[in-house]
Amino acid sequence: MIFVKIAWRSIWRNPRRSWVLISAVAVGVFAFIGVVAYLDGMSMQLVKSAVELQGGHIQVAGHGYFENPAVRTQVRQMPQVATILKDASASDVRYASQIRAAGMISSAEHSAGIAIVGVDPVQEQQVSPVPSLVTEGGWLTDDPAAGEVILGAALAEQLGVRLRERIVLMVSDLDGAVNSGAYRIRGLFTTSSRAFERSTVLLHQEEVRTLVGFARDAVSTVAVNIDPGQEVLAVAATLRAALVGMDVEVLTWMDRSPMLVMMDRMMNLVNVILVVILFSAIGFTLINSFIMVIFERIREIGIMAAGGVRPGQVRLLLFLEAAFIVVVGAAVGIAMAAALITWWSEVGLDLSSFAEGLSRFGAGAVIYPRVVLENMVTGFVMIFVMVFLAVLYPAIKASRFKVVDAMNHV
Amino acid sequence: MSEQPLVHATNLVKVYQDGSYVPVRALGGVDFRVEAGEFTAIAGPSGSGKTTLLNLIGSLDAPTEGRIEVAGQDLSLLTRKGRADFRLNNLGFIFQSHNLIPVLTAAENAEFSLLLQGVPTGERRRRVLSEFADLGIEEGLTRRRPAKLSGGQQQRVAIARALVSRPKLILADEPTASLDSKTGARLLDKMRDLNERTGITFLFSTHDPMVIDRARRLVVLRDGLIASDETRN
Repeated sequence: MIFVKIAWRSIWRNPRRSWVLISAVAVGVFAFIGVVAYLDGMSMQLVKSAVELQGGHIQVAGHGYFENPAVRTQVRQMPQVATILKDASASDVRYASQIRAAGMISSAEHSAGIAIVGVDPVQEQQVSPVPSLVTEGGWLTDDPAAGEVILGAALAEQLGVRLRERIVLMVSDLDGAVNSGAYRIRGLFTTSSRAFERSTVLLHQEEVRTLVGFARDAVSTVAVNIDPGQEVLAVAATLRAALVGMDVEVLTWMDRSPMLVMMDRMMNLVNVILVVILFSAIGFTLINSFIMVIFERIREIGIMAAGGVRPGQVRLLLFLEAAFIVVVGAAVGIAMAAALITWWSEVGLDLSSFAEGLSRFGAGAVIYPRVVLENMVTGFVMIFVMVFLAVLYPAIKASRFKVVDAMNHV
Repeated sequence: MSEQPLVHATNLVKVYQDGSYVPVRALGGVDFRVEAGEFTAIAGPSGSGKTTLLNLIGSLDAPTEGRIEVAGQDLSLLTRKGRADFRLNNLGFIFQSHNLIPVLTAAENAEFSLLLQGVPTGERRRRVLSEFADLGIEEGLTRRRPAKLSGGQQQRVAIARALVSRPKLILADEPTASLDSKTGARLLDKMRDLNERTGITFLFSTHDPMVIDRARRLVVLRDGLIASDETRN
């Protein structure tokens, strides 16, 4: 306790120097939190986009569909699967079935290869953000013969079509025959993913069933969403066990997007690298300052050692001083970062100039920073390790002074 | 002389070589004993080896040759940490000046060694206040930092710090050098009184006649050797 007192009071003996150090740490912490919150925000947006637009937290599909999404690979007993989904996971699970097929969309002037997704208009609203992302027109009606499609605004622009105009969809059915149909554009949606917007056309599931020739109970995939409090892996394991014998596979978003998982792990590594870079620079300032500190206090250290202070306690004293500087600096840095992130997470960081690049990955042009406690804790542990290493040399040096020489130091 | 002296130095040699081309022989083979309860002054001209001898006895420095036992402990056998513990539990130091920790108050400085020894708060406070009262340190000064104390007040706090843990031996290196003669005399009388009342051994390094006059034993060093050793009443 006495060393805590000495350390705390000692840092205020030279307030100017201490404030310089505290400021350096504060700026480092501020920069660290800002960058990590930005990266975490982007990472979460990428994951959210991947989960919401590409099949939900968990996807149930016919065996091998993920590797080769052929139209023949199906979930053939959808009513039984639906019953199991309800029974296995109670009311926490929301699901929607889709029939998916690769096809061609044509307007009067242009055509493009697209993914045709047949959805249940009511179920889809529980698992997909697309119904709420319709910016022009409206979402699909529950009429299975309405002849309506929803497409991305980017695709509409590419095809040169507008709301309520007609397009033609062409697709190969299960027998290999080419079927087509003319549909009216009921709504246009806009998402953070330009790729999704350009390549996806949604229409009523029963219209696609007719077009592709799926049996009455067959679908391509079932998107399953869970509540935030639930563990994806645990629910997936439960479903896997419950769906044994149905000839389906249960894949989490992590199984389907290993790149995102890798990216998430990379982010953790980036956090550590960031701390090492930021605090290496700050560490040299600390080394320099603490060497000055010990040379100014050689005599005092000698007197303490003469009075029975052990070498380890001399080191402890310097570590405590460094720790106080980090704690005060971190508090200032956190306060500054908290103010920035509170504001930033409301308005977002507009990166419109890089929007094309970001949208390729599925992140929007506006990034909303998020604080992920685990990453912050890792960062702060690293900061303390870096500071500990920076003070190690001066501390060892101070603890090895010859007592008599230290006491006679002028 | 008793069979087990408090300090027993045999053939002590100390040669300084650091930073100089010519080695300086500060002690040239000193045999020296101090019995418990002594009030002894080591005198001699500058460079005679007084402070060196005190530093060696206080385990603040190591001899080039020879052996020192203090309180039955051979100092050469101790590690750096062991020497710190030995000093904490057996020795008290009073230096010439500026020997308080500037960021601690007078009371905190005085109780520093007790804190290191793990003495409980209540006991610590009681002992410090008792020493302060003995040394005439007013209560109003206990919360002042050293910079706000006069030289005499600082030295009294330093003496209190040395005494409060009741060490076996107090080593005082020129304790009156930075004090005016009146304050110095008063503090010396106090130390002698404490020596008589508590039996704590005092060993001074000095050339101050006030210290020499009050010492019951006077050891004179010259050129690193004991020139005379006189016991007085």
